[in-house]
Amino acid sequence: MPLVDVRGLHFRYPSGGGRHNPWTLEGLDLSIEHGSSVGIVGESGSGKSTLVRILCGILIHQRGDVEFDGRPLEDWLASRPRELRRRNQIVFQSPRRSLDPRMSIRKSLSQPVRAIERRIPSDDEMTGWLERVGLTDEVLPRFPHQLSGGQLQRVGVARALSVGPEVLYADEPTSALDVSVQAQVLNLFMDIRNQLGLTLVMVSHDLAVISRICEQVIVMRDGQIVEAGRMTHVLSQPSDPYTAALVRSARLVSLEA
Amino acid sequence: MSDDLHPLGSATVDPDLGALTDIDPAKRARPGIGRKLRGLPVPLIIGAALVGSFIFIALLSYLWTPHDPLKLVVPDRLQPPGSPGYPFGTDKFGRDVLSQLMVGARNSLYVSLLSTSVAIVVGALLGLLTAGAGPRWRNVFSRLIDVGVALPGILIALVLATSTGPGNQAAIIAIIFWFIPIVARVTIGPARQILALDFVEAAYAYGRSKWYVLIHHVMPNIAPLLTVLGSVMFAAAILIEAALAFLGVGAQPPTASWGRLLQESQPLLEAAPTLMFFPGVAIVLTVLGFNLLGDGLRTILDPQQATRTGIL
Amino acid sequence: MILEINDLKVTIGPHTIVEIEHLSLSAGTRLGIVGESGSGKTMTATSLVGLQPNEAVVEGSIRFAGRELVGLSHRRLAEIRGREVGVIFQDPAKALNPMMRIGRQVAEAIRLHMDLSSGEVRARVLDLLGQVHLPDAQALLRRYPHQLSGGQQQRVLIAIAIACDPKLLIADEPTTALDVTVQNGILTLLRELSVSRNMSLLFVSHDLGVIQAISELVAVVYGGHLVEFGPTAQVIGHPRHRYTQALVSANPGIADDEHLGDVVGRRLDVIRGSVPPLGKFPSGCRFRGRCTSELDICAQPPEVSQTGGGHSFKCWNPIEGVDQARGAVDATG
Repeated sequence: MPLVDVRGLHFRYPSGGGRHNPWTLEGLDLSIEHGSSVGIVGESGSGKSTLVRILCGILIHQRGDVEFDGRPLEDWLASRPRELRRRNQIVFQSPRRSLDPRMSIRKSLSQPVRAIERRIPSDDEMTGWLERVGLTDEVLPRFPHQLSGGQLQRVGVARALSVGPEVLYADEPTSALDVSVQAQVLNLFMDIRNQLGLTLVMVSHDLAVISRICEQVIVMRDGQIVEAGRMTHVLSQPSDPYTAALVRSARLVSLEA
Repeated sequence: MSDDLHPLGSATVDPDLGALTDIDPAKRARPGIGRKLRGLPVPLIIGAALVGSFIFIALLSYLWTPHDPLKLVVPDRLQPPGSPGYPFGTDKFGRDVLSQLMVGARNSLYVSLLSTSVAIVVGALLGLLTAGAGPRWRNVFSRLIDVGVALPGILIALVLATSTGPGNQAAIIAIIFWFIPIVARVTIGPARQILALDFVEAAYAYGRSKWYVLIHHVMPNIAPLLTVLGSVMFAAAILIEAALAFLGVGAQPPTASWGRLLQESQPLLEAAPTLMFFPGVAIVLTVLGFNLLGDGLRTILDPQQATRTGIL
Repeated sequence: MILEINDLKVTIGPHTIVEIEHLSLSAGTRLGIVGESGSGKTMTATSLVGLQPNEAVVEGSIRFAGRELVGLSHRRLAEIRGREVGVIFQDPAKALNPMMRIGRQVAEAIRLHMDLSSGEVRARVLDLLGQVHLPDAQALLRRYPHQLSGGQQQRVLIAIAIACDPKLLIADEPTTALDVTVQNGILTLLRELSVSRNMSLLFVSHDLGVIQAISELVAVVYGGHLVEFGPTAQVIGHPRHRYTQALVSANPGIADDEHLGDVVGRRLDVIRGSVPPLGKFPSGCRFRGRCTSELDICAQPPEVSQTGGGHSFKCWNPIEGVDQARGAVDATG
């Protein structure tokens, strides 16, 4: 049984006036197996970020079925929301926007455990999380503006991992980073996936990044999935013309690995 | 050094990592007020000095004034400033102007402080509520707030005065109702911007409710804005209180108020022109002080994290 | 040579942001300047035409079409900008006035530098919009920027930049904010314009892949210094400077079809440490402390070495290759 199973997912952002907004996501079907690494690739407006937010419970869909570990998301949110949150965490694109500028790193880092486990983690515990991502407890008393983009992104990852999730969603985690820092953060993702056995779902517009990290790929366009499957297959023999165009364009502006 | 170092499970720092940004001594570790005097902007110092002086005078008046401000000394009426015992002169009843000014400061500050504080707190909550609401409710609240902003405050004050009777109470309530929609309106935009940031989504992802986010994440981030707004509105409140007293809607005799002093000086413009001067100057200096204070606070609180990016 | 830079030094207060001994560009050539944040690449490009921040001081020599630009008044530089040098930036939405119709914005650029009748201006606007391959130019004249997509907006900006037939176009990360398919369209357009108009292109980017796609020559910048220069294919394929090589290795890239499966999950090569903050760069070679092949001599400022074919670099311990001569930089394009 897949860990995440989606059938006929429809989502649109609520509108204030009389008329509904158009569907942002229209009839998506997909499944994610336990332990896999999945890349969701698409251009702006494809809905990839929206999809991920629905899967980790930040947005509520209007139509369709979304099941996590065999139970519908609505069930989870109604009866066991904290467990759902604990098992699904997310890392965001912009390191500077991921942390509250007015909270110390110590405070930001402790938030998920406070909210989900209803306790305050000790400094020792937090130091352990930081070391897992290659940082030291030196950053605990600091504030976001005192850290670099790469360091902030690592804090974001440490924060997400603090509750021991099964699934880690990453929304364009390296798009705002320099190439050399990106390499460090991508390596970090590979390491934590290998050592913790995480299921990794990474959204990116950058096909090169996806091709280095993800074994599965889902291609999205205008709120729909146009193609999905093993990454090596989809990139070398795309069946959809859009995918083919995307791969062609990406190759034109990528170095050869 | 090998690049094969795996950060996971190792207790050493990843050597790929860069150094922490050195703390610029001008920036504290904790964002907020309280920098050393050396680095403070000039408007802030002047503003704080002015405001501080008036607060001091107001408090002093509880302990001591040169003369009893209420005592009528008719033989000494309309003394010019500089007369022995009356540095600022006396009014038409022989009351010492300086003493009245001191007591008047009490009144002005009390009314302004109370009304502004209440308006800021309630207005900010209303603004947060609106910002956090779904689009439909947000539209409803926004339009209601717009109506509130459009209502002329003076009208509210006059209506209140005729129903509850004039006095400080009417002035306070009028100012509160006048300011709340303005504060709410001003906080909606920034609050919505903050709600769109990733750390808010992260909070939802670990299960925080919208209310938690509004109070614990949005409010602290708009606090600098509110502080600045508060100090500017404080200045406006003093002016409004004076205007209401001038119109006869606010503080009534014998309660001393700068506005009332102005009003009483009006018919005596020819006989004793200096009577208008002193309360007028007091109002101007206090308003100036609060405006400068607000300006200085904005300089300290907002670019607290200014890094010189954008150079390269 | 359309552009000749000699001993360029840009400073802000006590900090030296850019220090380039020599860089030149001939007519019709496309040069890419590649570097990460903190490398000084944007400052280099903007200081060429007086768009550097007010606090920055520009010293040295920048000769454009035979004329010295350093020391010119703001007014003179403004005349040259737009007329002889076009500039486009990263975020097209921010560069266009949201309250003004497209037609008028393009027309403004023309009217500022050329004295034409309104009929001639209009004809020229339509022609420019056609040259940047924007369909339905007539209708476009009356549209507002928000009604256009990001790619279309950038094309409008390109039209504005080339309106007066400049000899040089400076582009600072023009495709970073755009989707990859749109990006390629813009790059193709820029290449085409450069060729058809014999217009030189100075393209600044942090993305080596994009640089490879558009530039014939590339200049690698680190810590404000030019560390390597040469034909793009050669510099990327056979880098000599350690930083260039590190930059190439850190770049994920897409493997060719047969090898896609091999590289999945394989760790990327990283560059040790991070870019030092302003004022904290080491003396001698700027890359010291992060280089895996550092020698004692690297404490001395490196001299320039050249290989054949206009490829030069500044490194005491470069990657293996065929060295020809040590001596003056010949970063000539």
